[in-house]
Amino acid sequence: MQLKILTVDDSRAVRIIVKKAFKTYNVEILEAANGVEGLAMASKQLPDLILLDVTMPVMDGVEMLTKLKADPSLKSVPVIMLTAEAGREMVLKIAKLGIRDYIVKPFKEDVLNEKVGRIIDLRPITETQNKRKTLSDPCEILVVEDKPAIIQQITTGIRVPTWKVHGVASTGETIDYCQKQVPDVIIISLSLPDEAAYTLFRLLRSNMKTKYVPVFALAVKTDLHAQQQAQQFGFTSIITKPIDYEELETKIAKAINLDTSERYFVFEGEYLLIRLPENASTSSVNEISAYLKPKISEAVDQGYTKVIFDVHVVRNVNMVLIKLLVDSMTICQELTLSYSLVGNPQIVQECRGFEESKDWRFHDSIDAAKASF
Amino acid sequence: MEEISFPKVEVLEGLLVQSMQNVFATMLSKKIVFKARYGRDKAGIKPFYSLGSKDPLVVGSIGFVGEANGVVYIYMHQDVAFLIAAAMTGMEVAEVASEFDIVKDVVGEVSNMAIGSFKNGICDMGFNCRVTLPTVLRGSQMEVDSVQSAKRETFHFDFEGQPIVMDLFLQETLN
Repeated sequence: MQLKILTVDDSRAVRIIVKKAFKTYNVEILEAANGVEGLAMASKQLPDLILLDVTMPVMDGVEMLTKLKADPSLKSVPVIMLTAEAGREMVLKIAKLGIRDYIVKPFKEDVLNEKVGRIIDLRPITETQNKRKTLSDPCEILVVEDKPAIIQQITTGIRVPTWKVHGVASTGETIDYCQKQVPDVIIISLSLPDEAAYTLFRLLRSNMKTKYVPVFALAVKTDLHAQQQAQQFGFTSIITKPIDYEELETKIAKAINLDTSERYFVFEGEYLLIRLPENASTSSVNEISAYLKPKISEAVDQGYTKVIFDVHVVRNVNMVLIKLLVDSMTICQELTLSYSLVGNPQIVQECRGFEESKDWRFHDSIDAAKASF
Repeated sequence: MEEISFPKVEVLEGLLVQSMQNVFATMLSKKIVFKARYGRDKAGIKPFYSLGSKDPLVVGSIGFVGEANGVVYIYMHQDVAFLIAAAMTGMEVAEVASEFDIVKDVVGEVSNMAIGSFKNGICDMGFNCRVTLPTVLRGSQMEVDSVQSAKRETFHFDFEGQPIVMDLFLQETLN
């Protein structure tokens, strides 16, 4: 998936400069003109990084940063402050709020690229223009962990059949492995002795072969200090134990820019089937949202006229799911596509509890939905 | 406690000139040359109007408040503002000329960066202050006058053969 950078600056000129600086990289630049717009955009789009101005009208950067850090779903988004205010007091104030870096205006574009590149995997467009890998393509995951039981757990926990997990126990073994074969993703346990995880991370980043390989940190859920330290070091993402494998798979897919649309969008006979997952979390709904327009457009291009939303495995209905379905139905209506819904009695009951979905009609099965057109 | 004396005008001149040159070199990859400084009682503080120019002007203004208080106006011909906006955004001059909002934004940002750096220098000397949001004006035959209590120093620059003037109004510590 394409990385997203949100630039929050009241100056359109600065936003234009930011866009210009990243035009040769495979990133999408999102824009907001103040803290209020920035928070709304961040909640909606979950960017991979935020470039935040300090002095802005309506809501300034410091207030936005404070609110961002208080929001559980946004607090881990790395923030780089862009400011003309380089006074010691201001820098100390924003550093305490948990920024990853700051850039003093005026700034050169390459300084911006370099600082952003230390936090997210910036890749030139040419590298990503090739056909995107899908879930059917092989993916090599290297786990660096000195406890064989954890490696075993990850091996069995990952459900994508084409993904292979290989385990190593030390820095030396990791370097040897990467010399022979560069993995698609590396997961390093932060509990390796003598802070070896951080030394290894530095080694991997200084080697041209592994410089752009996404590196995840594996930490105990309650060890917030280790997680914060890993984040500051620039690990691509943090995985916490006990591991949520659905989350791990989503993070890996995102990190390696995998096209996961086949998980949710299936062209079957004369129907486009949109399958909602068991756990309709914000991240999975965002993942589906990113594919929604292109997939429905693709269906129209290929002459499909009927869409089935299959919600029957969803465990709980929530507002993000309702919003996704409302947006999807609106797109279908705009493109004059017919659609129907498949759900179970619990889903039907829960949907009645929301104003937007109280009148929706569900079918018991895919076959019943097909017959309804 | 030892009282810190406010920096002399020569020091302020060094800070302002360095700030302007740094902004132009970094954001535009272009040079701006400092020509001269004039005090309140000296000639040359009306570089455009008094020379009979009726070309439209663009003026960026930004204040700083705290233990040092003042305001700086940066004057330039509209055509110069177009050149700066084009260089900074990577757009064509004709493109920015048709969209004055971008020109206004760039002049505001140049003012913000230059005076932001200048203010940081003053803060480092022990006079804490912060900058206000920039304002940009457009018009012709205009100038800003000051109250007698404010110090006024005017700095002339040359940017690709065209004048850019910074007008600094300064009120020392208001404690």
